[in-house]
Amino acid sequence: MHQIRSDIAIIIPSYNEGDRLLKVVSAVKEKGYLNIIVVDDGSTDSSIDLIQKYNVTTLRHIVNRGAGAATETGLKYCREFTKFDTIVMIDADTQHDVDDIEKLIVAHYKYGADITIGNRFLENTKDIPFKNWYYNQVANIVTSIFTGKRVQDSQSGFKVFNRNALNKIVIEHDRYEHCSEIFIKAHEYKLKVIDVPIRVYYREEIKDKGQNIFNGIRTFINLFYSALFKNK
Amino acid sequence: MKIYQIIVPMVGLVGTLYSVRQFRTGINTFFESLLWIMLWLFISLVAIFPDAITFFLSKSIGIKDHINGIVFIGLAILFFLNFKLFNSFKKQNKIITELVRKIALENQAKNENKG
Repeated sequence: MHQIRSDIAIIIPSYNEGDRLLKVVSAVKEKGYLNIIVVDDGSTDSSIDLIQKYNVTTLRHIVNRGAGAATETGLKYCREFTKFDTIVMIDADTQHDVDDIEKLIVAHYKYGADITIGNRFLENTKDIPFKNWYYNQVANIVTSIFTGKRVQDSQSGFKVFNRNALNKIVIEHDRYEHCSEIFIKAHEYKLKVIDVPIRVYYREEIKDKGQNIFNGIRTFINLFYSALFKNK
Repeated sequence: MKIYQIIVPMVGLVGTLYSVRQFRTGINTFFESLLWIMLWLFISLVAIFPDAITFFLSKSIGIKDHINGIVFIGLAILFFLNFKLFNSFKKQNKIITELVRKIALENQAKNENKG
C-alpha cells in the first residue's frame, strides 16, 4: 500500500483512449493519489463510462477541442476551485509510467522548481520510434528559438506545476502547440523549469497518435502567428 | 476628376478611422491595424493618381503592362482578406473553446453541489 497523497492533483486529459484511460486511472489510484481530474475532450467512445467506479472528478468537453484546451480546462479547475499546491499532468494513453510521478514530485520539491518536465530524451531513447524522435527534435528546436534557451523535451505531456506556475500560465493554444507555449510563458515569467528523466512506452496502438510532421508545421505557424498578432 | 476619385478616398478615410477605432478598443492589434491603414491609404492613392501609381508599380515590379499592376493589387487585396478571415477563424475558435470549458466547469460545479 502506498502513502496517501491528498495534497496533489493529477490531471489526465483524454480523448477516445478506450480502456487505456482505465489502466492509467487505476494505476494512479493504486499509487495513493486520490485527487484525479480526468478531462474528457469530447470522446465518442466509452472510456469515461469505464472509469465511473473510481470516483474521479470528470470534466467533460461537449465537443473535441484539442489536448491544449483539455489541459487548460483541468488547470482552470485547479486554479479556481481547489487549493492544490502541486499539480501533475500525465497522458491518458499509457505511454508514461505512473511510478515516475513520485520521481518527478521528489525532484520538484528538492530543487524548488515551478515546473518539472518528465524528459523522455535524457536516458534510454532506443524505444522511441524514429518518426516521434525526429518530430520532437524539430519541435525542440522551434521552441528553443522562441525561448532563447535550449529545450530538451518541449512536447512532453508529463509535467508538474506548483501553484505559482498554475496561476501564471494560462494555456491559450488548443492543440499540441500548448506544450511549447508552456515553455515560452515559463521563460517570460522567469519560472524555474527542471527536467527529470522518465521512461516512455510507445505501444503499437499509440505510435500514430498525437504528433507528426503536419502537426509540427501547424505548431510552428500558430506560434509564429501568436508572436506577431498576440491580442491584448 | 472622375466621381470614383472622390468616393474611393472617402471610403478609405472611413476605413482608416474604423481601423484606428478597432485598435483603440483592443479588437485588433497594432500590427493588424497598421496593415489595414496601409491598405486603405494605398487604395485611396490608386484612386486619386491611377496612372501614376499603376505605372510606378509596373516599373518598380518589372511588369511590362501596367494593367498587370492592377491584377497584382487585386491579388494583394485577396491575400489580405484571406489573412483577415484566418484571424477571424482563430478568434471564433477561441470563443468556442471558452464556451466548451465553461459548460464543463459549470456541469462539474452542479454535480458537486448535488453530491
